[in-house]
Amino acid sequence: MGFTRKILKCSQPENEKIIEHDWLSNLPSDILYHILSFLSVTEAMKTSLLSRKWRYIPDSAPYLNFDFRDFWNQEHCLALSYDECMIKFWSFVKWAFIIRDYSPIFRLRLHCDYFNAYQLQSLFCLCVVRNVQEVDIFSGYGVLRCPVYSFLHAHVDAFIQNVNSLVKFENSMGFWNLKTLNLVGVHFPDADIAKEVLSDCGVLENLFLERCCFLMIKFLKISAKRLRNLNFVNDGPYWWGHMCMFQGELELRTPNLVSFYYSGPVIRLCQYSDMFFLKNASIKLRNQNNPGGLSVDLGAMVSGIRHVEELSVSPNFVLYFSPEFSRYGRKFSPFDSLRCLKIDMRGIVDHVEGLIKLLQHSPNLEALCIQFIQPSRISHWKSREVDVPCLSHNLKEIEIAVCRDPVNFLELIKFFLQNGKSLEKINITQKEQRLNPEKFYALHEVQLASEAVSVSISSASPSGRKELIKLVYGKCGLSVVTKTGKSNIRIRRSIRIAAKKSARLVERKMRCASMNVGIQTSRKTS
Amino acid sequence: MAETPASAAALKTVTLVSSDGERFEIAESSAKQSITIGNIIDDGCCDASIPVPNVTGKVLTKVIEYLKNHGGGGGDAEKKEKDDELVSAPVPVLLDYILAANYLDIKGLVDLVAQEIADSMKDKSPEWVRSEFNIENDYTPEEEEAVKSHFAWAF
Repeated sequence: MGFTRKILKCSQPENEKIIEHDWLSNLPSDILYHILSFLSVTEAMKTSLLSRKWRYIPDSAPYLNFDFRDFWNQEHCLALSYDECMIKFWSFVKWAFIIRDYSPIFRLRLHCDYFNAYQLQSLFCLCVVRNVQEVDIFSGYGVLRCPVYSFLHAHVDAFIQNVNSLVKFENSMGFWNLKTLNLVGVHFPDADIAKEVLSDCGVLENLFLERCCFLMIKFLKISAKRLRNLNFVNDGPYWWGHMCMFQGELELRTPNLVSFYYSGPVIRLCQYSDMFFLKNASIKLRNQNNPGGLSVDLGAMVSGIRHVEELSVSPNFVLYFSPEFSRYGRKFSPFDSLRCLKIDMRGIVDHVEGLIKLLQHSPNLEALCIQFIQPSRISHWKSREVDVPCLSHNLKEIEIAVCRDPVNFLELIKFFLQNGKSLEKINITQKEQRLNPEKFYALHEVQLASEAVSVSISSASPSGRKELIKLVYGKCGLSVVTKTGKSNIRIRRSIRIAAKKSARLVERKMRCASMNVGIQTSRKTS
Repeated sequence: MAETPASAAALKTVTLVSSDGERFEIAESSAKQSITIGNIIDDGCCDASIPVPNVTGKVLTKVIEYLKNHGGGGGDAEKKEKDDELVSAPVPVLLDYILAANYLDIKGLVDLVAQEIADSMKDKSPEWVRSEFNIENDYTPEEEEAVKSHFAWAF
């Protein structure tokens, strides 16, 4: 004992010595650059004074953040007016470029309230000369003018414009060398400018259009041969309400598109849209306006994305498939390549009917994940036998996530048990422990379509799923297995021919069984 | 009990062994947030346990806590709280975390610690930063003046 204590005492002073070491300066330079990437250029430059080792680090750091707010707060700017400070800031930006060495600049980020077209243009020229790969612009309030000139033909890979207001594009020409374009809150004042920006997009691979304003535009064509990811959040900036989102016809000439994310109202997708290699799509339908005269057709949108392999959809999408909402699309093309379907839905009748129709349109589905959200109203639905090809041949496993105890949930499980010929497993994960497993015992009466289905109920936690109980429905009945792995109850299936007597017998058995299970599960869970 | 592939993957764990021999078990899905570990798992070379030679047990404990915190579900507020706790450690410990996160290629953790270090340097004089990070000022007064005038705009 005393021996080990001695050893500890000896090592302690060494530990203290280590703490006094200058660890920061000895970090690898890419970590130091990464740390500096979170500081503005003004702050980063100050680090050159720390020690000789730091002298040239800011000069070669590849991430530049120019932030007017930082500059404005400096001592030597306090005496200046806003305009004078702005002029000084732009000179500072140019100077910062000039004093650098020739190390590459990966990213230039600029936070500035106000942009003078001329200043912005000269900055962009500098970016081209210095081979900047990504340009991010964050501007403040007000409607600004952003000239996007042909400078971007050169080496800029990414151009991100994040604004709190609308920025009007002016006199732009197509982005010929750009790989990533991220436009937030951009106002396209007329169709010509939109056409110039978005047609013939050369090498563009990623396009993000978020909360842009297309007020006057009835037709939008995005033509980008190499586009792989398209993210279209079709919702106007919040202070304009939902008035300036795009509600015309969209043509997507994007033959190499792999992933399509769309959020907004149903829009007409032109029949010439070409998305043959689309792998995954996520469609969230919301803010559906019906301005007079425009007919909304989900069918056109479905036809555009019909080659998709993985699809994730919002409740409205499912709703529009139900017979009650046939005005949103009479003819839906089948999703022949769809392997994995993720659905957010509510448990009400229209949604369930919509789900069935959607499943019927996905004959090759292999994986199904349903996330239940609370319904806005209660409506009762009864399960029935329906011919659903994917349920007959392919679908083996279903994942369901619930918040509480959704409406019609048990009927839906009954539906899958009745119609899932290949079904083997249903995994139910609940956020709060609201589901009563005993309700599932009643399902032992269901005419199973497959050999056996195990239904497992787990609760979700940050470290993963914890299985609480597993019910295995087989041809002979139901066995319930709790997490300890011991089977402690078997319920025999009643023979239908038998009279009320045996039904009463089963009822009695179940009541006894549930009492036993109650006792046993409470013992196990402690 | 036969497990289907999906649930089996959710429960699969890997063991990480720190430089001083401490062993840690973590779900495979959480571990894969580290690109380095993800590559080792995918290459299939280490089925039993994965050695992490550059990282001590103390630091690896915290790294694993981070991976578990960001591994699956859970509220954003809880995640942020745990992250804040992680970065409230003293400076030398933070530098250990960032080295470990860099070696293991865990982008989220590198960003988290780098942001914290950057925040601590913001609006502070070089003298303060030197004392906080134990950096020795090896400039002569003339050199210091020269640097200051070179970066005239920043000072």
